[in-house]
Amino acid sequence: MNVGSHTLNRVEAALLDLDLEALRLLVTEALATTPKLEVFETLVEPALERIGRSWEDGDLALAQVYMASRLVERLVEEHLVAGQLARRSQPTIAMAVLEDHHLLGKRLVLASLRMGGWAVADWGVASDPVHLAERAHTEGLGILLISTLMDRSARRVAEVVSTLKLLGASTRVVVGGAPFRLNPELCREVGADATAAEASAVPALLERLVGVS
Amino acid sequence: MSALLKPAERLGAALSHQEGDRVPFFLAVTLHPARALGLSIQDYLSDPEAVVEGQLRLRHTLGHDAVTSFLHASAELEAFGGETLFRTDGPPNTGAPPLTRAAAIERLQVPDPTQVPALARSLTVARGLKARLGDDVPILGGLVGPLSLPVVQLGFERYLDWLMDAPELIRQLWRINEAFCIAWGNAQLAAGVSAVAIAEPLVSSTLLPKELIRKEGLPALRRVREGIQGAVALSSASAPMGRLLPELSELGFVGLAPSCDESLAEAKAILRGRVALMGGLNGLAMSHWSPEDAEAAVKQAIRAAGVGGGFVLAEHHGEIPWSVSEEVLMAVAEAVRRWGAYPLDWTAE
Repeated sequence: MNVGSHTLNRVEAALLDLDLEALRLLVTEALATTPKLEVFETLVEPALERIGRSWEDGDLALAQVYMASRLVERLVEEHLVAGQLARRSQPTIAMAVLEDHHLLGKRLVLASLRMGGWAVADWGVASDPVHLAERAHTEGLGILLISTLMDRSARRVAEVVSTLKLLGASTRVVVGGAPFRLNPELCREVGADATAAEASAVPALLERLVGVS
Repeated sequence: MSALLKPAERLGAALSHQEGDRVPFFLAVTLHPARALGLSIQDYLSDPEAVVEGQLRLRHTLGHDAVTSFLHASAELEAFGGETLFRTDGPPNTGAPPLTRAAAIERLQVPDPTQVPALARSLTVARGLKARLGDDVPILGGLVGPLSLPVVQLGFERYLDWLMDAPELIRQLWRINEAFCIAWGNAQLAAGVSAVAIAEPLVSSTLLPKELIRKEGLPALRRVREGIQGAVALSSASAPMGRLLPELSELGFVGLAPSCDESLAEAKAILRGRVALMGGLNGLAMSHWSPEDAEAAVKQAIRAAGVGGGFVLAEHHGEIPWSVSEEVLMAVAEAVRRWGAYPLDWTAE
């Protein structure tokens, strides 16, 4: 689908204005000529990515990113039923928050990924990094996404990585959250495979990681 | 160079926008004293006498210009029915958010901080430090700001959901938090702290929309600042203050601590002669610094903001992570003594 910048601007504006009706209308117009998943990939996802970049640039607030994501979640629920989500060959993916009750980051990442057609299991809060790694191994996970808030929990990702190695698992670990954003060395220090500065960058990161075009 | 000043005089000079004998510095070592005393973090933070001893010991070791009676941010959540989860190798974290239903906010009363055991311990620490240090070394108290408390009271998701779906409920919670912050700040001053630092990351427009901060957040912070009967500083706890910095500088705080990701020189230019600038060091990055890195970071910060006073070198988040080595902390302290002596002629090179 060839999306012009004018249409993309309108989707972005609808997301920032929290105008679900306008968003529905834009998506319905696009659906007249384009398959559902492609509409999300080429219209809604790039608009959310722009909003994510504006947050990174300091022009928008996380609250606005979150509220836009919440709108997109609604739209995804309306258009994509669970069975349709895994639209391509992909490794098994799950996401967990390590040692924290603040799940905002996970929700933003899950919304971005599901909109892009990625099937991601939500493992909620993991209190023990070793158990998390064991579960990933047992379930043959290809990619484990870990969200953290505190420096301590971010450093405990090293225990996940070392346990996975000990078990001979080939699971790749992708990390995110403030400790990794504020300390760019930390991702390498804990032995994770990759990190993203914000949620809307995760789909592109996964595509690079698994070589999906 | 001026004669050697006492820490209180050195900080006083900086807050008066004058050059004292050197740039004052403060490292918020809330956890490291436990290691120095051979205690677990939980045992240390649960024992006010140990905290007094630990703060004095680290002050002696580092030679920094203040101590703190602040224990842990989750203590404030206990006032609202929350719990603290202690860790063996990091700061205590908050447990599950205690306010999950609208009805809980509707019937919420302003808690009395002196009746909350964890906060009462902090007050005991303040009294103990004051008894040992008198007026020579400033004691910094701390509290979480009214806009940021809901992150732990409700959980960040619910906070943002209700901001969108039930804004009146959030406004009601902010009003309760304002009153609590004022009471908690004044209780700390009464116990002997010299100044109260408010940690308010949600004053950053990277977290809440600028318009909302301008309309509701800044007036709330002004009211809290005015309600606390003493010197109050504001930290955005490593979140950028960004374009709101000039407006924040009008609220009457004695010092502002923006994120160290922001330009110290630009912040100094905005605040010069009116409000002291605090910060300049990234605690999370410190954990992989060498002593040479520490020296370079200290030099860079002093070069950017030290000239003319009005600058206190500090870690920008408000707590040195447990993973930072004592060797690095010592290197920071040494570097301040080496490069922070006024006049800072070397910065012109």
